[in-house]
Amino acid sequence: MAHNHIEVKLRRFRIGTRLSIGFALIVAFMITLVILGIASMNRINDRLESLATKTTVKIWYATMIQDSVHVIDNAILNMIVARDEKITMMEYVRVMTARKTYEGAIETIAKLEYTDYGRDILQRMQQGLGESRRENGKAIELARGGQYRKAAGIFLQTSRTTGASVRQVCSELVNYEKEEGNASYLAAAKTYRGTSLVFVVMGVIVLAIASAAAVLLTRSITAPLKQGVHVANRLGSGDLSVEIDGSGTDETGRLLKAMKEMAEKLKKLSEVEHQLVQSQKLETVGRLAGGIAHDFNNLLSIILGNTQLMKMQNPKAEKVADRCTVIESAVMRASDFIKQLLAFSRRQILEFRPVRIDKMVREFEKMMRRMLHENIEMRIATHSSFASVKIDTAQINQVILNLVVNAREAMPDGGRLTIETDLVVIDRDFCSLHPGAKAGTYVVLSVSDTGTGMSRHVIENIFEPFFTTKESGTGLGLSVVYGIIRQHGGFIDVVSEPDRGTCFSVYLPYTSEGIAVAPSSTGEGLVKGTGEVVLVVEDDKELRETVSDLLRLLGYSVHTASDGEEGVRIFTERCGEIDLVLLDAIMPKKSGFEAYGEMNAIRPEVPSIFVTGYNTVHGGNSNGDTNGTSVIQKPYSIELLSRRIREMLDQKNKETPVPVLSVNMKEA
Amino acid sequence: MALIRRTFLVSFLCFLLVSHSALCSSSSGSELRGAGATFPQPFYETLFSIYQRQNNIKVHYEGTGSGEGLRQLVSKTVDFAGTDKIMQQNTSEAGSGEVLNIPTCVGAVAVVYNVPGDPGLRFTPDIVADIFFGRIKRWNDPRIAAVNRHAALPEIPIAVIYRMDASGTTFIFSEYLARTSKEWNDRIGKGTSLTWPTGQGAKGNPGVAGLVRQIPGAVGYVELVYAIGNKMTFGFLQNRSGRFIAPSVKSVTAAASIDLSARNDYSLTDTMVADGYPISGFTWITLYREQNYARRSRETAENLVNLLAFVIHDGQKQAPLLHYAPLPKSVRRSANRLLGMVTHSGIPVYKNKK
Repeated sequence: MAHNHIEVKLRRFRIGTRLSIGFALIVAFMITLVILGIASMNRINDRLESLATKTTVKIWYATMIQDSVHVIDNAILNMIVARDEKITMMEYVRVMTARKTYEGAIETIAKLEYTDYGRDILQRMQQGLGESRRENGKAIELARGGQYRKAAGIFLQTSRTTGASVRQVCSELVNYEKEEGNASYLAAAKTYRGTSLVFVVMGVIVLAIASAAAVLLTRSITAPLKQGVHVANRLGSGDLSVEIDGSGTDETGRLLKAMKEMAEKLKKLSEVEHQLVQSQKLETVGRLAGGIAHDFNNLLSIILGNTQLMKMQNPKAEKVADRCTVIESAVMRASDFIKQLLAFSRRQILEFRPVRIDKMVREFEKMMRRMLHENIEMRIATHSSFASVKIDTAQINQVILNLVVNAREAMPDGGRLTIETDLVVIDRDFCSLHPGAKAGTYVVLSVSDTGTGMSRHVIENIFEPFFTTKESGTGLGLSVVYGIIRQHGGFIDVVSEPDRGTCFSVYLPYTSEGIAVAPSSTGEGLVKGTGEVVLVVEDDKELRETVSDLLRLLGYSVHTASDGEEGVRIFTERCGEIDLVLLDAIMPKKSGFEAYGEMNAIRPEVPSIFVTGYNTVHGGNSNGDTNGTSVIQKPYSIELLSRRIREMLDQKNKETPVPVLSVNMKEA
Repeated sequence: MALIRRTFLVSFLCFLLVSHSALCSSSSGSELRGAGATFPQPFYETLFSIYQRQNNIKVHYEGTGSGEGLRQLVSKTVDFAGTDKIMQQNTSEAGSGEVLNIPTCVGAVAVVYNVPGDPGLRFTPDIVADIFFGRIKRWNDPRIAAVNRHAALPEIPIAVIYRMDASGTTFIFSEYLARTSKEWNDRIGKGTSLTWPTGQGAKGNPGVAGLVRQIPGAVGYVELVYAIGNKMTFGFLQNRSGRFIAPSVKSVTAAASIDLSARNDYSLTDTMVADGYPISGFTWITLYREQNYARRSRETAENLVNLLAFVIHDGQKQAPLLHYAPLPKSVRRSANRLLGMVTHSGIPVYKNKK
């Protein structure tokens, strides 16, 4: 770890700087070592030299003292023996010189002497010399006075013995100095050994530091390069999840940083790619769903038509009629599922109808319950009673479904789901707090849960396409919800608290339009034809036959065509007799719309009805009857078909009263 | 018992009194004290020893060097100072009174050396200067060899020994060098204490003699008596006349045999005399002219003047025995005149004028 830490710190500098510092350090170490070496060698040398000098000098001076004492003895002896005044005088000069010599010598030794024992010897020597000087002085004085015999007596009696003792102390001093010198030399040699050991240790330390520095330096360069190679390899193999440490500020750090940025850009790119694939996938699924829905609607139309034919053809058979009714309702339910599928694929036809939302919610309750697990309690509270909104029921159902699913996902451990409706008036103040809201009266539909809640960040992004917090989510749910609500002229509001829950409120504009009474599939009667000629253009053979049978039963005369081309041909051939064209919107060769165009060019007064499983051309506009056309969605009931045909025909011949035959199925 | 004890006590008290008076008045009675130059010390000690035996007056003379002697005279611890350099009146401390410099004898400064084989070497003044400058480092130097063709010169280094104390000998020696070498005059000059360019110091003439004797290759300068007394070899020096002269009573006497009335400093160095040894000089005893100072008695003053009269008259015959040159007659006369100037409370002390 420490290694890494140092390495990271090192990487604050450039490689060049690092190398320079490293080399400079090594050079500095070397220089230090050399300087220290020279210094301590000098120190040892000086020490030894001074030691040698000191010892030599001390020994020399000690010898000098011995010599001086000897000279003095010799001089006095000469005086006594020669018995000559002049010799006495000259010998006295020798004595004086010798005295001065030993005085100087003692002074010098005293300066160099630092041991107590050495000083003690010196002191004893000085005492002895003083004593001998006094004795000698007496002898010399007597000799000067010519009393040579007396002088000899004193000299032989006392001064010789004191001289001898002084000489002994001198030799003691010499020996001591020699010993001392030896000991000092040994000590110096020890210091030398110690110093050389210090040098070896220092050398090892310097070597270790230099090696460590070299390793660190090399590692600080190679390790990031290695990482760079590794990263490049991983990136090359398409693995963008590789972790890149771009913390260094040196060259490699910058390289890694660039790589990191590149990887991040690639990651973003792949994300976009993923999103694109996802949306393409959805598109494909949508197409597929649309195609299936088309065929499925055809099948359902056949089933429904034949069931209704069966009912009509066997008016007496109540049991058959009952069964047929069951089939009819099953078909209608299946049709609803198809619609949901289409809603997902966005190929639905938006049918805005004034709806009482309370009622709608209640009707949707069963579906919602199916979506929820048992551990979730669902509560529905409707307060908007009679207020209605102009909506596409299927889409709003999808919205509710989406919100319910979301709520369920937010409560993995169970909880309570509440669906509420209310009628609210929104003022400007509210609008200022909620961008996208407009003042007015709204019906609010809220879905709240007691789940995990969301963070602020999540809330801000929740309606973004492809934003998801779920691992398997497509991120489309709430964006679709948002799109649908905007299409309805409403807005959506989210309140969420982490660990407390979330409440989505969907605001839909209130409408004062009355509720269109949905024509009852069975309650209303059949509107019969009066022998008008209807051209049925339908590529599905079975459906074509079923529709033909139904129309014939309703009292129409029927021509059939299996595709657009044929339809146009028959229409041209029997131009005058055809009163109405029933066109399947999607057909091979020529589509319903193309065929209609051509027919319209020939005889514009002939009305046309498009039958469609889904409608992309007229998406979102099913009610607008333009230029004598109408759209019917598959599967259609016979009642709807009869009524629509009648309407079209009546519109065409406004002046012609059309007899409306109310057929009571049961009665029939 | 009691009587014996009392007697003992009295005698002890008496002893104390006597010893006290002896300690207090070192200059009173039969004792004189002097200190200073070692240059004439053997001469003085010999004379004082004789004088003591004849007159029962004890004279202590301590060879401390000229400088220290004069200092002790000024601080009144001694009765007289021995010096090889005249004490100038203006350099003495104010209030100490006029001093008199009595010449006592003439001595020679010998250049002594310790060279194996004891060759008698010749020196020119510039060689001496360069040896003491430290420029000539070995005995076999070509310049030494040039003037000593027949001498076997060993290849050993020259060790210069000089006087470390304030010394009149140094003054005479440096005066000689300053006179013969302009560089020495400019760089070192003359004086009792010098900053020596090289070498090792020693105290007093005996100190230098001892060191030179002990160190092979050493060279130094001492009064002739120390050189001869210690059986040391000394050099022949080239004088102004170009002759190589060895120091001796004869060559020193020759050097001193000049008309000294022409010069007031009594300097004899670098003599013009053809037979004269070039490094010789007078040595002096310095004393206060007015002796009544520091409660000194008239008797002490008389004793001192009598001692000095003995030195300049009767003592002179002892000088040659110790290789000093006696004072020339004219100098002896002026010395005698100076002694006559010594007073005690203004009254002259010297009576038996010759």
